[in-house]
Amino acid sequence: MKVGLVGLGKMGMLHGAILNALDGADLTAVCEASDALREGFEAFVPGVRFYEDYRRMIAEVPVEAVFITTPTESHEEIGLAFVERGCHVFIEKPLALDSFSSRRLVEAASIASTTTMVGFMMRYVETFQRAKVLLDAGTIGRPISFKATVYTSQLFESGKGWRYSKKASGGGVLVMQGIHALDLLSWYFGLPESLNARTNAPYSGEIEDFAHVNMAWPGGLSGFLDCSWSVDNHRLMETEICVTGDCGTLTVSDDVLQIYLRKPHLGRPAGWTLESKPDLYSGVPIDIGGAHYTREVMAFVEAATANRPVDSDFASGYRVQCLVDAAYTSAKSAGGPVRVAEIAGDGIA
Amino acid sequence: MPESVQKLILGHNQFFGISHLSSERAIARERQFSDVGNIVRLVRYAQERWDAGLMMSTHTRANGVAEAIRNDSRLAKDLRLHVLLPYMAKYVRLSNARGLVGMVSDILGQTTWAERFGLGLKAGMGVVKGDPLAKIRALIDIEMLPFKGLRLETVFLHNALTDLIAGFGMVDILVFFCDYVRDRYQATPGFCTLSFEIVVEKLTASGITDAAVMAPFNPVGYQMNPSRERCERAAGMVSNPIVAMSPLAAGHVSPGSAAQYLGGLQRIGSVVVGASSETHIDESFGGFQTAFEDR
Repeated sequence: MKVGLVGLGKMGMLHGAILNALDGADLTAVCEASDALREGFEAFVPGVRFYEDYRRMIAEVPVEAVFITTPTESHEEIGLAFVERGCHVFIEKPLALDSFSSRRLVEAASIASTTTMVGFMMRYVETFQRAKVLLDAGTIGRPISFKATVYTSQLFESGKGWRYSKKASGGGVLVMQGIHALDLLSWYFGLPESLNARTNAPYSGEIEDFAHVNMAWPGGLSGFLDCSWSVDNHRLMETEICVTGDCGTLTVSDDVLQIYLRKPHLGRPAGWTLESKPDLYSGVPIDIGGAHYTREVMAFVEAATANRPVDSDFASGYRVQCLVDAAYTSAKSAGGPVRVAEIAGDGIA
Repeated sequence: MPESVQKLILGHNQFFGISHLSSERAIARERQFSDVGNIVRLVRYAQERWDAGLMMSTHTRANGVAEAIRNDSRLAKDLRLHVLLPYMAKYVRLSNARGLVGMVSDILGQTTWAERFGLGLKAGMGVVKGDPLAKIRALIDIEMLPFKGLRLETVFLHNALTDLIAGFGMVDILVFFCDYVRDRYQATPGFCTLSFEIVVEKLTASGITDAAVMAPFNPVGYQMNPSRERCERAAGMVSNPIVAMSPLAAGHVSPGSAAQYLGGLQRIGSVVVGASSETHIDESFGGFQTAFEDR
């Protein structure tokens, strides 16, 4: 499958190198607006055509699929251009600046009926993947309550670049990093019915550095997400979700998954069981910054080749973006409750 | 015959609060080693008792450790250093905060850097605008600054970069890195990788037969890509010195089983392993020493 890539930033490089190394994909064209980056890569990467403008790339190279890894503000425009050409499209998270913009992408993709994917790579981390299987199987009984945290020590003064500009990124730590946990929670439990949120922006001002989101589901599950890029002692982004059910507790992080059962349940003994990353590991052809990125790209390429959908498609990206919008709406009213359906409208579940 | 790499190398991650299995454990270790004296004590023990070298990333705190080694005349002379560059987490954070191009310009545009190389600001800015290889050269030199005057044996390129370069098939950069490390630092160039089979393939295709390759080798196949069996097979097909890392699979394998496993892989002549006490060091290095007796 001939694949194009738009945007050679950190995530673009990572996806480009994986695509170029995979057997099922043929990285044919790369678009990057920065001369220094583009020319640097062009000088050394054989067999790939480089473009400054994605419109020229579309006109000159017939790619079947594209990876869009540009700053969020251009996702909608570039995504629509490729979807309308009938391409299979991967867009790095978040899908777009807000739920309205995301919805336009979902609608265009459903008309074109191509494979779409949003870069929710945490779904391909072994531990979080395993948690989905265990929760679906009812391992800890009926989920009642959870707490989720996403922390990194990244920003302790005002940041520079597109990630810290509301116009270019759509928001702060919630939409850039906390969104991974929102996606996992929606993947595990479906969409919450309502939420309320508070944010705090001591460093960034126009976008949040801290977000605290309370959520409630129709069946009685409730819990909260706490995320920040301005906390101490977290060298890399770390995500943890702890779910308490009526039979026990499941705690899952990037490294390890632990289950505690109050009494024997579904053939498992009472007490602790632990599964760590090496227990769950399976090899990938190439690993650049984590095997989960490779699994994600492979899942997209396989689905696109067979023209079938993936779980983390544009529609799921849109639903998560509705949660983000709901949280921002709530934060504006000092944490007042917001029904997710009011943001998302009809036909999203 | 390609040069070999020191058999036993003490890893550095635990000193700088890095644990690939447990963030909590990493934080606890960082507290234990916030005193550079505790690090140097263990490094000295490993060197004297086991003739071991030290792997060092260019973590911000590496400066303090390098300084302490320089101040210890015996260690400065005897301890063989294996540098792993760059310290990726720092660059990921910087590029998140500043963008990739902005980050490179910031680093290379620093007056302090230009002054340290006797370039003056104008020449420093020339590098910023210059060709990509000049930028890479300058970035390597900046990363190498803390190790000036120490006994360098190997300079490894970090796996995130090795694997990125190999994925894109930029073999000219692999060759360039080897040449530059030999010419400028008189050290053995090396490539750290989590994609052993692909990297070995690219090195062979570019005729690089003597650079070291450092990759995970452990009996459970953790991070051995694409699989344990294929990594073992690939190891048998090259003459490059191979350094096994993650032999304990992030604490998942006992030092005894790790030593037994590596002992059975004839092509592996070196191992890098972390340890946070003298007892740990003896446990790990004792087994590996025996396993490597024949090589």
